[in-house]
Amino acid sequence: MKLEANELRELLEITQRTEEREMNCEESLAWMARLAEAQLAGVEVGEELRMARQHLTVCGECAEEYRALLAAIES
Amino acid sequence: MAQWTNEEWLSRLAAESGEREEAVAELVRMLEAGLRRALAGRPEAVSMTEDFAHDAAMAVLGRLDTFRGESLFRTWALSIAIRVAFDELRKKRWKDRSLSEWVESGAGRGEGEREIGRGEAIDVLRRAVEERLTAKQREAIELELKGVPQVELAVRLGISRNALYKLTHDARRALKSVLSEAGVDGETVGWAFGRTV
Repeated sequence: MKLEANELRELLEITQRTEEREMNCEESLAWMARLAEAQLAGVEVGEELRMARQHLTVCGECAEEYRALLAAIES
Repeated sequence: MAQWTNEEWLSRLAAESGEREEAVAELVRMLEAGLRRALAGRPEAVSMTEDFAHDAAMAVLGRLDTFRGESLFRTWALSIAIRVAFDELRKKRWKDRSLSEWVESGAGRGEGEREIGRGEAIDVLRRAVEERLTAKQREAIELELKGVPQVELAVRLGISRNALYKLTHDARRALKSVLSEAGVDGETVGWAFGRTV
């Protein structure tokens, strides 16, 4: 299967954001609500929330869900 | 809409029959309202929102013992509801399409650049994908990049979603190591694509 140029670009970017220890989707979901509230309140986040946020930079599906959560609780 | 505290939600959802039934009905109403906001701009989801809310309420009830009280109950429940709804929408988009149709149509991705400059970083990465990943890692990474939903990809590979994440995380770590050995770092990537990563 051939990767298109735009797909290689995306892979290059998420590879650079990859960390040795990362939360998986399930672990990230457990922190998503707290992270969204902290973001809307402009509150600094601790290590676990930082890891949850890092997960969102390498997982498109979770990032999509996080944006939807922000939209749901902002209004 | 009820404005209950976290403690009120938990106690009502754990109460005896009558009060619990009312609390579950309120939970469904709250999730449906939240999902309508979360799914705004997705007309294909409108007719399914009520069903999503019912399914999501069951998912929330099944996870009540994992709620740590570090956010509003409403926000926590909505985060689960959104996972349920989006997974269903992704499955629906995937259904009835062969893998080749999906990949060729680009249905899983937004409109992206079709061509970029072939810098050294891209060449290193392309070779690393071909030569340094296992067949399973390569399949997972490639299909994920082509937008195949994780829930479907896990089924295709016969592994759990968490195992799929570990598979792709290991692949990304391996690729990052190759890039690092080749002297490609975040600065190089930023330079290659005109912005800082």
